[in-house]
Amino acid sequence: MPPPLSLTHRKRFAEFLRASMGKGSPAEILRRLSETALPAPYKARLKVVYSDPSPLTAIANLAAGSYTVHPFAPEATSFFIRPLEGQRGTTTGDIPFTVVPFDGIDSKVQAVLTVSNTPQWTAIKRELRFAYPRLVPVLLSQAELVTSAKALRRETDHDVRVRSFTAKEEIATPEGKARRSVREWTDEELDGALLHVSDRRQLITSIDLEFFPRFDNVTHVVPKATCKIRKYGEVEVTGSLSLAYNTVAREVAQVGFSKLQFYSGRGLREAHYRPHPLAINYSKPLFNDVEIVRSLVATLSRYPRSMHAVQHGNPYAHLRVTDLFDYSSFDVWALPPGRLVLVPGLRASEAACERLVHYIFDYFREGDIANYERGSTTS
Amino acid sequence: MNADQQRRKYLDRADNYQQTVSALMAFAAFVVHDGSSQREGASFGVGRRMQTSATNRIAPNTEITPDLVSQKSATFGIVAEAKKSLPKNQQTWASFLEQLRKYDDFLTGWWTQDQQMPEYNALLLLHHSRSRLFIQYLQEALRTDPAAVGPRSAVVEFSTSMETELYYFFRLEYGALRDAELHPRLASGVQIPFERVLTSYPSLHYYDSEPPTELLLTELWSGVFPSLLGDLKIDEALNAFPLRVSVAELTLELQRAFGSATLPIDVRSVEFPKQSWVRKALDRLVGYKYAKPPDQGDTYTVLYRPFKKDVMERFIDLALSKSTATGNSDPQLLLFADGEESGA
Repeated sequence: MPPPLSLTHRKRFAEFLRASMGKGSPAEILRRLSETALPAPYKARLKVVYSDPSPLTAIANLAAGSYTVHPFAPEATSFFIRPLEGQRGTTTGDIPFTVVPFDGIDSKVQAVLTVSNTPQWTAIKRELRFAYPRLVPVLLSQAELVTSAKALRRETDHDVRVRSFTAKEEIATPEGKARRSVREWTDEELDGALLHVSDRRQLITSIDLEFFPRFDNVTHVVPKATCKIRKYGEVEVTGSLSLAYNTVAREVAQVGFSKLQFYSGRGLREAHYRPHPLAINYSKPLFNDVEIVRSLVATLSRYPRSMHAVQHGNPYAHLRVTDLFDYSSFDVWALPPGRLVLVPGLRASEAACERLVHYIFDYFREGDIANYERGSTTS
Repeated sequence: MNADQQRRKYLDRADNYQQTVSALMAFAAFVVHDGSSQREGASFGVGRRMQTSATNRIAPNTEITPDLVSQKSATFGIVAEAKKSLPKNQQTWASFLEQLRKYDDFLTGWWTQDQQMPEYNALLLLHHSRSRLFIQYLQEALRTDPAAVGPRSAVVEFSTSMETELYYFFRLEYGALRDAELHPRLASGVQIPFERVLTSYPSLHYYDSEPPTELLLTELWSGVFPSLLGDLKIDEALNAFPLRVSVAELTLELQRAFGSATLPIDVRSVEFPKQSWVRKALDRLVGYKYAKPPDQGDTYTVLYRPFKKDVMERFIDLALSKSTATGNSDPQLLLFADGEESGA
């Protein structure tokens, strides 16, 4: 591992990055960064985000009202964060980032791209959170993370291997249930690793993939790129940025776009008062067990930044949940044997739909999401 | 009655109302659907305006609005009134019997060419916990007056059942249906999956009967008011969003999203929720200092702020504390003037 950069070199590298990202089109910046050798602890990092009409517009609006986020120039696609003096938990110096579209994918999904160390990346994400719910992160379920990894194995001309994954698992403590993070290193086949995850009821939060060049069915021993895909739609790249961008980030963008489009337009007012409910279907019976119904009600009652009303709690559950970020609301029904129905209220943004579903997946159980309509029920 | 019991009673009333809505829709499904699709010539209406005949024993030539009017075909239909709960005091049950007698009539207003129905039944849909008692009462009434119950009247009990899935269960407990197909099925009991109701009418929350005010307030506070906040800024002095709402617009919005407009409608359909229910709810907010009354017209200023506590429980607690503050030793008497008790 190379020695860490000296302070002087760090400053010079920061100036180089600022110059690289300050000018040019997104494609030129992407190419420039792809050709740049990145000294540790810097990595290319990107976050796939969604907004209507575009994340770029949302971030430009954020910058217009922010003391810390600034565009490099009017109409620029690149921005920098200049932390306020004395601001808690920030690094010194400007932190540049750029907003990059994906060829052939709707402009509602774009990536926030930067080269940064971890504290700088944290600072960027913290600022972007102020644009929520206008700027929506792409949250990947475990199934989507795994499906994306599998798709990449099929679709690239590289040999893609899962190097490791990070997961959370529930453990019993004297104080009650707690969660711990576990990191699993694996050379085994992805399916085998996933079976292991499922047996231990672990929840994958990130997957590390390695891309090995392959020629004539012979694979290189050194990966061209290593990518960590996080469930928050973030990709961390070591090695070839352009390869990661055109494969991993693109896959995340496609998944995110499909999902957020699926969630959009469901508020009753927006849909001209025609309901468009959703269902989370579980393969095993759950809600015949009153204890599980109670645990769901307790989980939803703890949903952050929300207001709730329990309309019925036993033997089936019916709750009203209001998202206090943008005041979307949902009726949630837990119906035996294994279905959660989410009926959007007068207002129901895609951001709120995604946040609620992801919370249920994370803190209750992950299931299959689908439209809830006649003929979709088992009866 | 202690505070917990009182709170339980409020919650039961809200739950009873919602279950009545679902039970009505489930029973409508039983009549108009043949199991796979809607029958030819079938239709239903909730709170439909019907006209009694000139020979009606209780109210001739009068407009009535049964909870459910459900037409199986051009030759058979059912009018029904639903009661998830009944008052404890049986002396008040006479009005239900009278209502059933009134509905047992060749009513005008069906979905037929001449708006008449050659054969019909008038039903009382009762929760199973009260159906037997009510039938005893009905039979007592018949002993004193053989015409107290009409020839086409029937009592059907309903309940929810949780087996592999959630069902509404209906069974004929008194009388006979004048339909050769439906009678044996209802006599032995039918299960209607709740999901059939939910997939068809997922956002129907009301029927043509006033809901408990706490239920309507919960709807307004957790769904309707938040959806209207838009770019409204919080008033720091009030620590609330000053949201101006008109009774007429609010009622219309509730009808479109959760009420009568979510169902098939025609000229005989009634509209619900009604303005009077909404006005009553807003007046209640004024009493709780969560709204200012209109200066003029019907526009209230709601002082909106999210609750940390369960919204329904919050409104129930407010109702309980208000009744205590007014010095009423038994808030039930004030708030449940009809003395209803849970049927469950």
